[in-house]
Amino acid sequence: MASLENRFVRNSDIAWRIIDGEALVVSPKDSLIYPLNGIATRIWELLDGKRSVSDISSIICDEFEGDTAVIQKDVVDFIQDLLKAGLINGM
Amino acid sequence: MLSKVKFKIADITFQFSSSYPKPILWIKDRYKTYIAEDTPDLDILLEFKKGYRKEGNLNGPAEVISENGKFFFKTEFFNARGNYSNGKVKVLSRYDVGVADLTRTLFSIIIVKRGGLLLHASAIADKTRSYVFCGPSESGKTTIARLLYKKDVLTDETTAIVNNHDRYYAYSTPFFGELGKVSKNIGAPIKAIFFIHKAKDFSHKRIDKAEAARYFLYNAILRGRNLDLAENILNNVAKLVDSVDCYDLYFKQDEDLWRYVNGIS
Repeated sequence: MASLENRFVRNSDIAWRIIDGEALVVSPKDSLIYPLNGIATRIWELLDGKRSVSDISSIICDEFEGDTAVIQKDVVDFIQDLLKAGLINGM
Repeated sequence: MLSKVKFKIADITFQFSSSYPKPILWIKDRYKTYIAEDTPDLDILLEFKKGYRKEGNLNGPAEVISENGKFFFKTEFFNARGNYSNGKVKVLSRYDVGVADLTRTLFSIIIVKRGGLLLHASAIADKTRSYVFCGPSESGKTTIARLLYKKDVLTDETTAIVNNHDRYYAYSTPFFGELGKVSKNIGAPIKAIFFIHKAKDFSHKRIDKAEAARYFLYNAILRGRNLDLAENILNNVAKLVDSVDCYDLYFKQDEDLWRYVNGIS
């Protein structure tokens, strides 16, 4: 479960690459491909195990125009989805 | 006494050796257009061992490991171990079938390690250029190959994309579809790659690199992906979209197709 104080890191068994500002994330073990849009790509980049969900949310709020509460909820939901898909691990 | 045969697909030369002549004779017949005498890049020793044959699930997921310069894969039919640097591959087959599947699996791994891709795509060559038409089953790859029969059809199903000094070439492969075998083993520099969609009329749009990369990943052929190969594919796709113009092509079944395609690129 992702909450604001948690930290997550990208799973080392996942291949990814940013092409033209958008990340393509490949889970080799189940042959699934996850294309991420620009904001999702930025969140993905920030999931380095050092920053908390709250830190990431603040960075996204600084970098993108939008309602802070909405952005925070979206960041938490997205990280939760990544966790569910096995693309990231909790620290 | 070993029977041997050499053949070349997209500049990669395979040598199969086996004490059992049947698969060698099969290759000589089926891959006639691809028979070569070059020094092999892959030297494959094929051994057979009778085993219990479980019915069904013959195309189950392959287990593939690729790391530290070596690869291993295991399917319903084969156990294969290979070394990327010296090209030596040992294959133990349980059944008297599946050489095509083995060749395709080996080729799909090696081409990725060499900077290329094996794609679900038909392709044609016109003088010194090639055009690739990429899409999943039922998208119209064979239809396009049939419509463009006056050109050199490289393949109606599976195109090898090769990076040669940062220039991309499309090559024919023996992994054909409904159209059957092609008569020429050739390749040519790629002028454009089209992601195809059946439609009532002709139209097209240039697509951005991120979208093209997604299409390539969805249409790349590689059984049993592992991390090393997935990273290689991503790198290869990133370079490919930087170098080649990619389009969405909506097409109708009409002989004007060539005129339309030629006009785009």
